[in-house]
Amino acid sequence: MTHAAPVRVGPEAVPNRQRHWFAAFLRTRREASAGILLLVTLVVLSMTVHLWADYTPSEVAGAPFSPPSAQHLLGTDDLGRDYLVRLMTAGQTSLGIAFFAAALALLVGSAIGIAAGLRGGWLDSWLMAGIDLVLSFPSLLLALSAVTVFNPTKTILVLVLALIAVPQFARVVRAKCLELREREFVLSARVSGVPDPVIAVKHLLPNVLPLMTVQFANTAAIAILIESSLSYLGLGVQPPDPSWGNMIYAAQSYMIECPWLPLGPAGALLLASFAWGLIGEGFSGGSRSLI
Amino acid sequence: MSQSVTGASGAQPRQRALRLPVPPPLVGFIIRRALRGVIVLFALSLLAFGLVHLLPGSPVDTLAGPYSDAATRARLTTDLGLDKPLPVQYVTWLANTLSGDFGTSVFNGLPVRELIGDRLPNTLQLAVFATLTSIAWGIPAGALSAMKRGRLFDATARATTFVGLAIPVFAFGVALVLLFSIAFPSWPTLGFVPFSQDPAQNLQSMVLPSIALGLPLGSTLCRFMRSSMLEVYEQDFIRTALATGSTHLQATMRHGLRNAAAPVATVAGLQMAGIVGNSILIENVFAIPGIGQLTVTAITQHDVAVAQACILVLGATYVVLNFAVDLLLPLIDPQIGAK
Repeated sequence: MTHAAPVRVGPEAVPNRQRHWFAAFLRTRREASAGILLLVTLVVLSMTVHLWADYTPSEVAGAPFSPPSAQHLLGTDDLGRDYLVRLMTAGQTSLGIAFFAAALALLVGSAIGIAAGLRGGWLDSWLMAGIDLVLSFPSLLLALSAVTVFNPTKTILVLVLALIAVPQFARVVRAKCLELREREFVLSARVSGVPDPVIAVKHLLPNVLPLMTVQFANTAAIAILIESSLSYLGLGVQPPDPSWGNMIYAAQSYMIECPWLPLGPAGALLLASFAWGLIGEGFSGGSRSLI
Repeated sequence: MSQSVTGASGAQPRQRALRLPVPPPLVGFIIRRALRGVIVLFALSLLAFGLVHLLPGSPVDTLAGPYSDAATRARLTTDLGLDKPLPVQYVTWLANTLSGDFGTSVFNGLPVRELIGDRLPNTLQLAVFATLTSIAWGIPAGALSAMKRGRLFDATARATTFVGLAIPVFAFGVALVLLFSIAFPSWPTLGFVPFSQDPAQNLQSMVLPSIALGLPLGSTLCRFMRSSMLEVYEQDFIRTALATGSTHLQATMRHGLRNAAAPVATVAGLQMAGIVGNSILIENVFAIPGIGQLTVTAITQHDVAVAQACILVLGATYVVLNFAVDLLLPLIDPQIGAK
C-alpha cells in the first residue's frame, strides 16, 4: 500500500492537493463519502430531535395508530405517540451503543493486536489462542449468555458488543503488525534501541490506522445488527427506552393494519448499517492512500 | 483415517530409516482441528456451568421459595450437591450432561432433555432448508453476475446482496411476513405445523422462514462466487478456450464453474455454522418451536437449566459443524490439507 506509492515532487503537486483535499476525497472515495453523509444525517437528526420536534418521545401526540400525515410524518404508535420522534430517539440509543462498542473494541482490540504482533513469542501464542477460542462461539450465543447473567443495561450491552468484536479487531491488526515488524523502518528503530511502546505508537500505529478505520466501520455495522437483534428478542434495550429492535418487536402485533410501524425502524436499521457498510467498503477498496 | 496413518508410516522408514514415522500433513491437520474442537467444547461446558454460579441468587432460593426454613434449605443444598467444592460439582454436572441428563425445567417441571428433543428436529429442518435456499440462489446469481459483469443483472444482484448483508435477518423476516400477508392474504405467514402432522402444510409454513434465513447467507455466497468467477476469467485456460473457438458460455460451463466453485465451497461451509445464531431470530419471528425460541424463553423466564442446556446444544452444534467443514475442506481443495 505504502511502499509502491511514487513520491510526487512536482512544484504544483503539494499546493494543489492541499487546496482540494476535500474535493479529492469526495471524488476518489465516493462510497465512503455517501456513507458518511448518510450517517451524519442520521446522527444529527437523532441527536437534535428535542430541538426540532414538536412532541416528546413519551407524550401522547394524537390518536393511536394514525397513518403518516403532515402532522405526524411517520404516523403514531399504539399509544398515540409520534412515531418519527420515537424513531429518532431510538436512533440515539441504537447508534450510540454501536458507536461506543466499536470504539471500545478498537481500543482493546488494537492494543492486543499490536502487542501480539510486535512482541511475538509466547505472548502472541497465548493471546491468539484466547482470541481463537472466543471466535469459536457464535457471537449471538455469547451475547445471549452474557444477558442471562447480567441485566441488559446500556453499559452492559456496550461491553458485550465490544467483547464480541475485540477478537476480529485484534486479528486484523496483528496480521498487519507481523508484516510491518519485518520492514526496515521498524527493524532500524529496534536496532537503535527504541523501546517497544515507542515503536508501537510512532511506527506501527500510523500504518495500522487505515486498517483500523475500515474495521471500526465494519464493527459498528455489525454492532447495530446484533444490538437490534437482542432488543428484538427482548434481551437488549428494555421497553420504556425505544430502540429500533424493540420497536420492531412491539410493531409486529399491529403490522398488517399499520405497516408503517415495523417499516419505520426496519428502514432506519437498514440505512444505519448500510451507511457504516459503505464507509467500510469505501475505505478498504483500492490501494490509494487516504486523502 | 487410521489406514492412511499406517500406510504413510509404513512407507516412510524405507526412505528415512532413522526418523520416527511422521504422519502425513492431512492427518496432522485433522488431529489439530479435532483437538481444537475438544478445547472449544471444554470451554463451552465451563461457560454453561459458570452461568448458574454467576447468576445472582442460588438455585436453592428458587426451589425453596422465600418462606423456607433453614433445615429445608440445608437439605436442598446437600441434595443438589452445592456444598461440595466447585470442581467436584463441575465433574458431576458434566457426567450427568454427557449421559443425557440436563436436569429439569424450573418453570414447568419437564425434563430439559425432552424439551430439547421435541424442538431439535424443527431447528434442523429450518437450517437445512435455509442452506439449500441460499445455495440455490446465491451460486447461480453469483456466476451469472460475473458473466454479465457491469450489466443490469450484475447491478441488481450486487444491490440485492448489499441489502441482504445490511438488513438484520429478523427485520427482513418481518418485512416478508408483511409483504405476503398483503399480497397473498391466504398464505399462512405465521404459525408452524409439524411435519408429522401435515407434511404439505409444514412445507408451506417453512417457505418464508427459509427465504428469510437464506437471503443473507446467499448474499455472501453470491459475492464470493462472483469474485471467484471473475478471478477464473483472468486465467490462461479460459483465454485458451476462447482462442480455440469456445463461446463465452461454453468456456464458463466447461472450465469456469468448477474452478470457481472450490473457494466458494469453503465459504459455504463456514456459512452453515452462521445459521446457528440467525435461526434463533427467525424462529422467534415465525413462531417456530425450535431450540432458538426455547433459548430466548428460558433466558426471559430465568429458567437456568434450560438456558444452560440450550447454550450447550447450540454451541456444540456450531463446533461440530465447523469441524465437519474442516474435514470436508481438504476433499474440495487439496491445497488446504497440505499446508
